[in-house]
Amino acid sequence: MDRRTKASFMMRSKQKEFKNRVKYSKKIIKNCFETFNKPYVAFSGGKDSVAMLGLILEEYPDVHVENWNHGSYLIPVEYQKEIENNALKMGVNPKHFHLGSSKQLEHPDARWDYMRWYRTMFSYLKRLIDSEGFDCVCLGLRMEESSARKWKARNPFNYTDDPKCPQCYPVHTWTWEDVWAYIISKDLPYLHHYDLYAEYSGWDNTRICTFFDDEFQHKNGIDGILMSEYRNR
Amino acid sequence: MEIKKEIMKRIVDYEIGNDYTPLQVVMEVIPPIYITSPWLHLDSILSYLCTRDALNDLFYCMPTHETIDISLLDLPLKKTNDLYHASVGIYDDFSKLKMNTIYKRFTDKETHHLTRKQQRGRIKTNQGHFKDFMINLPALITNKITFYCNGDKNELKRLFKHLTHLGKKTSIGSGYIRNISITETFEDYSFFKDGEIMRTIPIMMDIPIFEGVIIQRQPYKPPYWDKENVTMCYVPKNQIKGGF
Repeated sequence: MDRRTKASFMMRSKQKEFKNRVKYSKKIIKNCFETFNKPYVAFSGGKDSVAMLGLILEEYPDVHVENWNHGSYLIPVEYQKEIENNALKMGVNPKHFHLGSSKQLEHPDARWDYMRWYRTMFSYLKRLIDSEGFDCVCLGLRMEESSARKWKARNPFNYTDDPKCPQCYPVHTWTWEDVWAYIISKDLPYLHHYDLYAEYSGWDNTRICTFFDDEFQHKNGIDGILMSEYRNR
Repeated sequence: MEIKKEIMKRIVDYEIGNDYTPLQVVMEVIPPIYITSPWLHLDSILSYLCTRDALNDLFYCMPTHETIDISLLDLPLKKTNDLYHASVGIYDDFSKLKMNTIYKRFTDKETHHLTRKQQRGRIKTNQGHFKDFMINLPALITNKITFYCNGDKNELKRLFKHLTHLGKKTSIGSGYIRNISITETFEDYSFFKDGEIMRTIPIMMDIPIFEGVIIQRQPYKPPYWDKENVTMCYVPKNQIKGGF
């Protein structure tokens, strides 16, 4: 990130509006951890997850964190390693870091057969929740992201999608500026992918999702240019 | 089946000039050019033009449920070990990459495309041929693209007369070609120029390896979308990622 962008995010982090949002998010987290017995954090490695995990680790350093390995066809191995390292650098207890993966995703078909991804990930999550006894999941969804998310994350808690394991959205009111302001002000590690893509898409539109994935190709046409080395692996 | 046989016959019978000379092809274009790969290959452009030239009217009624093998198609380019002497496009120094969002939706202008049945019923814009879409595409802003090749100058001149646009979404006017100039060069720069690799070269080929060479799994011959043509290759510099 260049010096000027960094400075603008630092300025944002000093604004009252931002501080109020952080306070509100901490309130949600406190509420969540007091209401539920064993919540866990779903960590994708993206900027929203990083900000949310940073917030939670401030108060609850022993929280359980779950990360899903999408397989080397959807997320290059180097990126997956970076995501895991970032989580550990942020202070996640390695004993409480759950890394999920599936052999089914280590196949070229994983790029177009996206039901394979849904099937494997959700079955893994179900097993994890049952075995570990988790009763709530913290997700980094924000209302600003899309109209669908605006509706889904309009409340900080969602009990309807999975009544067994309700969802909590601590950063649901945050804007993209707030997210970056928090990351920069707390000096949290983030994926180098953002530096690469932000030059072309802007810091507001840059997001990480699975690469060369048929489901998201209409959103990330730039993968073919910036990640051409991973296209034909 | 008859059409496919006829198409294959025309591809095999297609003959084109082979008076090869080292050439430089400069295309002046009106930006943006929508691309989804860092490189524009000259041999892929020529394979498209030659297929159209060879098939003539049949080019517009090719089978849609199967692919046509164009490996036997003759191109006006010199060939060494299955590799055409044609470089990737070199963009000018002032090039930039931007992201553009393209929207497609059904409007009154398209009503003449409708069949009688469609004219009487409802048009579905959430699926099928008239589906609305929003797509993000990288747009290359450049005024000039330079290619190097070793080919038949007269044939290239004849074929390039039919080339009007470069890249994707040409129907909305992107990548319009203003002018194409072909000049002869002293050396063949289609593989190397000033110590840089100019096209994807399979590592099976015995070439002198120099420092900083990049090896990736990439296709090395047209059609470049075909995964069967993918192998370990020395690749040219990514001009966009590495800076123009």
